[in-house]
Amino acid sequence: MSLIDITEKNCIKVDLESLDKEGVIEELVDLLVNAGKIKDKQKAIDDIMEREKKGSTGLEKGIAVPHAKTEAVDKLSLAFGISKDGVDFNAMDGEYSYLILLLLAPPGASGPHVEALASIARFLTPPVIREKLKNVKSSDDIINIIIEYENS
Amino acid sequence: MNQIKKILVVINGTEQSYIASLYAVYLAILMKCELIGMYVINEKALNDLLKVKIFIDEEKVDYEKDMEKDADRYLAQFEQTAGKKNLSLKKVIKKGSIHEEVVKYVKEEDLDLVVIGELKKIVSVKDVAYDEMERILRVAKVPVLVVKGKEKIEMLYQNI
Repeated sequence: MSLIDITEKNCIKVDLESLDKEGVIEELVDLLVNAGKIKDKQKAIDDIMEREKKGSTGLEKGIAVPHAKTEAVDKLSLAFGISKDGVDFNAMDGEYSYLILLLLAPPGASGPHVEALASIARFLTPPVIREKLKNVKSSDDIINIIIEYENS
Repeated sequence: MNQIKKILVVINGTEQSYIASLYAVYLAILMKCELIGMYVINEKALNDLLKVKIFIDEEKVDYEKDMEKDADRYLAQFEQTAGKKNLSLKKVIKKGSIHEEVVKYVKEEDLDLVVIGELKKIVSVKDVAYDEMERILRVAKVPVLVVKGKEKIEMLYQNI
């Protein structure tokens, strides 16, 4: 699955304002609500936080990938956020998270959900990609980085 | 002499693989050959996500169970499709890397033809590299038939 398939400009925010994990998650959920992808905002947040309780989705090197299966969406939905100051996501390396990708999938779509997460993991692996993302100024910058990566 | 004795259809829950299954039933009737439906649970992707710690153990188990249910559901659908034309279907579920399991099974069972659904539109180089149906097309050692033309295929199936 290509990231281009599931990334939309109006679901990207390059200047997340929240200073904590819960706030950032709500900001990203709001992007999806405004894009018409979430039917039930509270259900989405509850399901994401339920997943967070089992183990933080803050990874290493400034990345967080909160995700959940939820009836609040009808199809795979991705929101992309950059926090310039970083947010404490209880990441495994103890560092703040700057690149946060929120992925929601309806129940019964485990195959595509897994493929999308695998695509995200591959995309965020090269250090040069992470550096570029941290320095973006607009959603278009992110779209261009994804397109460039996908065609490299 | 009928050279095609066993046809394998790769089922993955997409509409494309469903259309492929209709055409495979049509071919199996015409050529009087055995029909096999295969669903591969992408255990490789699950393990990769566990390795990079996007998934926790409990989650991997949960998603694997979901994918097993998907496999049962989509193969049952294929069985029904075949059954409507009085054909039996051999159902196979494997776990691992999708294209590798298909290629391995084709070799083990000495299959003659692999049938897959229409390939999705390629939007990037990475798409080509990572799309499992593309990989089957490239690495299979037997002919691979890519089924296209939904309306015509549905009509062929209805009328056989």
